[in-house]
Amino acid sequence: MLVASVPPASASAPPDLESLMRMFAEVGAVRADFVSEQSIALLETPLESAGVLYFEPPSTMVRSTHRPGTMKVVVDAGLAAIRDETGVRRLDLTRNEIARGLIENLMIVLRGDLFALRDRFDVAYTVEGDRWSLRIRPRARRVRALVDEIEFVGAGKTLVSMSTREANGDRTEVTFSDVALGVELSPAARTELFSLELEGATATPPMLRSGAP
Amino acid sequence: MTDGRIRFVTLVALAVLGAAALARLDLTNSITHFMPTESDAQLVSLSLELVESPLSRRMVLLVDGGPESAAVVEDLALALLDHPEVAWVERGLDEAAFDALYELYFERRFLLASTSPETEIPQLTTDLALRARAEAVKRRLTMPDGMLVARTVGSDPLGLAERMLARLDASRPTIPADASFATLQLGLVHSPFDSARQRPLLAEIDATFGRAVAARRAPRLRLDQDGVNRFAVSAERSIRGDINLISSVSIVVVVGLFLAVFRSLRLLAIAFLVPLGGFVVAMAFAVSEGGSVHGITLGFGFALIGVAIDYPIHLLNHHALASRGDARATRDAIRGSLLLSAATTTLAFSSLTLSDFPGLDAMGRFGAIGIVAAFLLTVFALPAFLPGTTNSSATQRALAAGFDRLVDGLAARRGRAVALVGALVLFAALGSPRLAWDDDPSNLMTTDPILLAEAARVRARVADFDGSRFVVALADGEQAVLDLNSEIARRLRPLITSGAIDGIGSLDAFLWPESLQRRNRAAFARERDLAGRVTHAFGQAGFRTDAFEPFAEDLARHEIEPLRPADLEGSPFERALDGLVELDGRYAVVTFLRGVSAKSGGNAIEAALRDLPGAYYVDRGAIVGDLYAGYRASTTRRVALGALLVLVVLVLRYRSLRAGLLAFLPAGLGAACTLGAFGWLGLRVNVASAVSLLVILGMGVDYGIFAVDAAGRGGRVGVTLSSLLVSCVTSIFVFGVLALSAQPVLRSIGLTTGLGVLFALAAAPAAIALARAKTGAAT
Repeated sequence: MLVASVPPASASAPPDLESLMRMFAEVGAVRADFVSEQSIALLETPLESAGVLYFEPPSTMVRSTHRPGTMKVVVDAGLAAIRDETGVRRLDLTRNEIARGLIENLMIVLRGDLFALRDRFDVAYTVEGDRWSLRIRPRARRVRALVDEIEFVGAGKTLVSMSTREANGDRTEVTFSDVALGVELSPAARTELFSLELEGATATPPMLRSGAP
Repeated sequence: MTDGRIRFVTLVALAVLGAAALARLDLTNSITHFMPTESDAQLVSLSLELVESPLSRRMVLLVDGGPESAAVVEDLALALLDHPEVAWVERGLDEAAFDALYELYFERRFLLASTSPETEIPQLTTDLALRARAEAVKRRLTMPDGMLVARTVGSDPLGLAERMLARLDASRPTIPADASFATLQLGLVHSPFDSARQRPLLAEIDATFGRAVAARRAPRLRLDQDGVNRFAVSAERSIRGDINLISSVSIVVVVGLFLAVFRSLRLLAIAFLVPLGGFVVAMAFAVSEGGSVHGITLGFGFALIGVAIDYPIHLLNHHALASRGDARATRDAIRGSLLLSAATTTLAFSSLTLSDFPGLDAMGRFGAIGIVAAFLLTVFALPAFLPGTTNSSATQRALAAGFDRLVDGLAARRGRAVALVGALVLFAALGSPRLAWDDDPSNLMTTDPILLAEAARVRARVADFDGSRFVVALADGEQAVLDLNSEIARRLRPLITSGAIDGIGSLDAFLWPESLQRRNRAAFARERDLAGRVTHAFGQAGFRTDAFEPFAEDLARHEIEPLRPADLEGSPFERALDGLVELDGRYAVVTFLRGVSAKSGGNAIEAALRDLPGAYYVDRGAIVGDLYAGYRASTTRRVALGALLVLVVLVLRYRSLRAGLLAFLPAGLGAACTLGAFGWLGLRVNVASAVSLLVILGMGVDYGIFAVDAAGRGGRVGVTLSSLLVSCVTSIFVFGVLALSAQPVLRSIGLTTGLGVLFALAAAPAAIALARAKTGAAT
């Protein structure tokens, strides 16, 4: 349950990258609904999913998907826990360059971490009216083999969309709505949000537990 | 032969013998020398070899304190990779590991799918399971790591590679995800106990870290390290410091003593020629037997110096104070005492040769041969080194006169001598029951508390495998041992679920027996039209059907050979083979354990392996503790046996039970009162103390024999007692000052030997007084 939120202010686009990052660094926690559409060569038709995204600086993020299935990704202090109906998988982002490259890019932008952004990506920032566009290209060779470019588009203080173009041509468009900035969660809401228990989820099958063949 | 020729021949012979022995000396520190039976020794030796190789030749570095940690660790890794003592550096699965993973494992995914292929593969490939899998994969595509799935699903729709990766991941140390710290593991080229090579590496690590922190402007970062080499270098530094201090003190005091008593440094050199000569001869014998000489045997050999120096001191003192003409005449006068003294001491040391422990046997032989050589040198060579006549010093005369008065007083009032003996007996009798033995070998050495705290900080972050508890598989062939190892892993995995252990590090995660790999392939081959059914199931879930052609092609390939040990050689996973060794035609594999529950972990592991021939759970701490307890008990028994034999020989020699007992009195009381003192003081006694009892026995018997013989010869006994005093003080300062050492093992030897020699000396005047009182009464 949200106990406080600040609606996105109607503001002009930050004039430069430094201002954009400073703006994100100041807004605090962010909650948003999202709809994702993936155009994947493997699939006959685009794959759509929807859910809620919650980010709490500096390094906590929950991505809870309601459609097509119930799934949750919890990233906290360098560890990503991915929960679906088959169980929980954990990825150590501090020691897995590829996983870090795939999962942390949005967090770097939302916490306004200019140093990490420039350290890991080639960055291009443009402004057109009150809309801004941030294009980033991974520098790490192994990440770049997967991701060609990510573009964040926003209006004023609000992040509107995130497009990922993969090296093999696959594309993912994520559109954000109902964006709330400076969100504060009650302890109970926080516990629920970060819980890896899924309604109706079964216990982890033994074969998927870490260490099992 | 002239004296000059004897001196020349003696010195040259000892020099040549010493040089030859040193040239052929092969030192070992293997614990197997102190194991009772060959079969136990083989198993434990093998286990230790297996574990010490991968686990002790390694360091874990942890940089903590901020987000710059990862970058500093990267700097450390790059700098240390080129160090000659660094065999490998690991920060996680790097690019090379990922490439190797693909080359070695991905193409063999149909061979490495399941440990129970006959049951699990049919379950994985039912139409229902395939449909569920297709839906799950589709949902996975929406996850943040979905694009990784998209890259492999065409050739691996069943997720076999992910299962292999999970196995490999579980076999690595557990490191919690936290961006504020980063870790680095590095392998050592040489033994961690090779201080000469480890010192520069440790210094280089500190220097590199300092440079990296300065370059990254992150002064708040802290480097914590854990590795056997750090403790080994620290212990060596501590022992070296102790030895330097102690030897300096010893040399100064002994030189001062000889100058005070004999007024001659030349006599000091002559006196030390005998024990050193005995040591050289014993070492030459040990080397000539072939094989290696244990470090503890050599260390024990140095104790000879304390025992064998008695002989030249007696000869020197008698020559100065009671000379019968030239040195040979003096020697002839005390030859009987010397012979009996050497014979009984040899007998005492020889009792160790009856031990079941090869190490004790070697120590007994070394001591016995050394004593015989020292005696022969004293009798045949030493007179040639001494001047024709020696003037006694004022100190010698004063000491002798003082002891004469003491013994006269005790002999005149026999009750005092009896009271002294009675008091010592009472002291020993009341103190000994309070004695407590410490059989924990880890207490023999102290470790630097700062290093311990640092290691604890590392271990709190990195849950590594336990170096002291592991499972060993032993079999006659390579594939047989891999089969056995696979079964061990299968039985141990449920213990992770039950909480008995936290994890296992098994070669089975990297390498399965060929038989299991072929069973996997056969199980897939039995699945009719698997490629078609997979394509259909995934097609129904919305996947393009042509996407699974790579899977169909790979499934149809049967020419891929099973993964074999040779395939891992040269790969980033080569170190997994450290646990597989060949030993005399047999093969062994060790499984490392992590977080063995103190309460029930060991029992659960033993229960899991109970009916599995060739599988052994090894708790090194318990084994070594048992070994030390057995070693200590055996030593104590041999000391008691040696004491009994010495007593019998003394009684036979003097043809009198009373004289024999009196000659034995200093040795017996020396050992008993030392144990009593430990009991009174509440000091725990260890295996080093037990061995030191034998040294007390050897020296105490010397005192007793010289005392009784002096009393028997009548006249002044002060000469003999002053010799004993010089001998005793020399021994105390050669060994007794070890009691000042920071290392418990050296402290035990020093304290035991020092106290024992003191008690023996205290009993000697009483022995002389009682012996003389009897002689006088008889007269």
